[in-house]
Amino acid sequence: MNRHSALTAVIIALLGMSAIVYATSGLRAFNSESIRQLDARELRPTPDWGHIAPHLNAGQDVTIVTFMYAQCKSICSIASAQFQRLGSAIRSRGLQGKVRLLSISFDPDRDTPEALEKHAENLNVDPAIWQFVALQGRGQEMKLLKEMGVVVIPLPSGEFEHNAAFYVVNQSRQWVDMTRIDEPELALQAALKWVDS
Amino acid sequence: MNMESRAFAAMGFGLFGFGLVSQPVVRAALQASMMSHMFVLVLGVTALGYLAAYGIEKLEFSFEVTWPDFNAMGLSSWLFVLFSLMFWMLPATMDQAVDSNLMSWGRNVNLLLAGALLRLSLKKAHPFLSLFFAWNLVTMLFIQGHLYLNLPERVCNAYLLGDQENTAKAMILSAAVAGLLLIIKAYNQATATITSR
Repeated sequence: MNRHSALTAVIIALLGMSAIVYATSGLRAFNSESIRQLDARELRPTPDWGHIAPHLNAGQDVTIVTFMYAQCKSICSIASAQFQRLGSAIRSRGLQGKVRLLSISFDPDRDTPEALEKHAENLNVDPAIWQFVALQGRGQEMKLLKEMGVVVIPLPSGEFEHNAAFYVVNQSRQWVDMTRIDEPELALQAALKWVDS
Repeated sequence: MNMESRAFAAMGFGLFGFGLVSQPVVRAALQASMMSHMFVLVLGVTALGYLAAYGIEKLEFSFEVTWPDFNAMGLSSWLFVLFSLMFWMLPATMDQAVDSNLMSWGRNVNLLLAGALLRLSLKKAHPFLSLFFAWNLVTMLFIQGHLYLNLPERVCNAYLLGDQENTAKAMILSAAVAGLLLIIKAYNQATATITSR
């Protein structure tokens, strides 16, 4: 093999590997969810919370957020069950006023304030620890969901297919961590780091 | 149909097909499903590039330029094909191509070029080198399909779990068929080599 060919092959291999390393955040994340988690931890973005902002109690407590819709029978039910466990953990560890839970609905047409209040009653939540709020207007909805990497796909049945996670938001309303919904304890640990700091 | 007509048809089909899938409406429709994204926009565009290059080569367009040989034994072009397909088959880059027009265009152009270089690779490389790279691609397709099928969660935020499962099955089936063809090819090649001694 001649020198030109060897050099070209090495350059292509290096560029190819570099592109893959860059796209996977250093081979640490192969899908968008993992990349979002790394970005949150390392970049701590501050999304445009819009009218949700007052529900985040800036400067006071750390909030664990999830996106949902009340009529969801699948993944949101699991997330709600985990939030109930987290609520109990917050109460039993005396973390009220330090860590809160917030469920944000992306289905404002059906999740009116009254419907969410009823949903909260059904789940027997303590409003001092766990609150519900719905996104308003479509523009803001799309913007915040996009910033947080939440993908919502409407289905013909009127349901939604969506990704679910627990998002940890610190006292400065920065999104600082993200865990899967089967990892509630990790979300609480991530929140406690900010409580202690 | 004579050779020239076949070459012209291949080139026309390749370039027309590329123009068609690059139209924003067609591209968006194909990106709406993981199956069409993977098989038409990733593997299909590569095949279109191959067809276009095949046609151009058979029509014997001559550019009268003498370049040093940058691609001895087709190694550089094979590396380009391998890394291009690896990059655009990553779940993270599939999501990014759905979200960003620039990424979507980048994918189309990159894979058209990869397809053209695949033609060059197959022409220049020793058959065993081609078999090595092709076997790598088939293995990648199979392992990725197996992973997608067995993961309980969505790997791409843009696609539904059912779509992912169907795509995974199609990837495994395609890899099995391509693998079988490669084994037959390798056997024939080995037999021809032994016979010629």
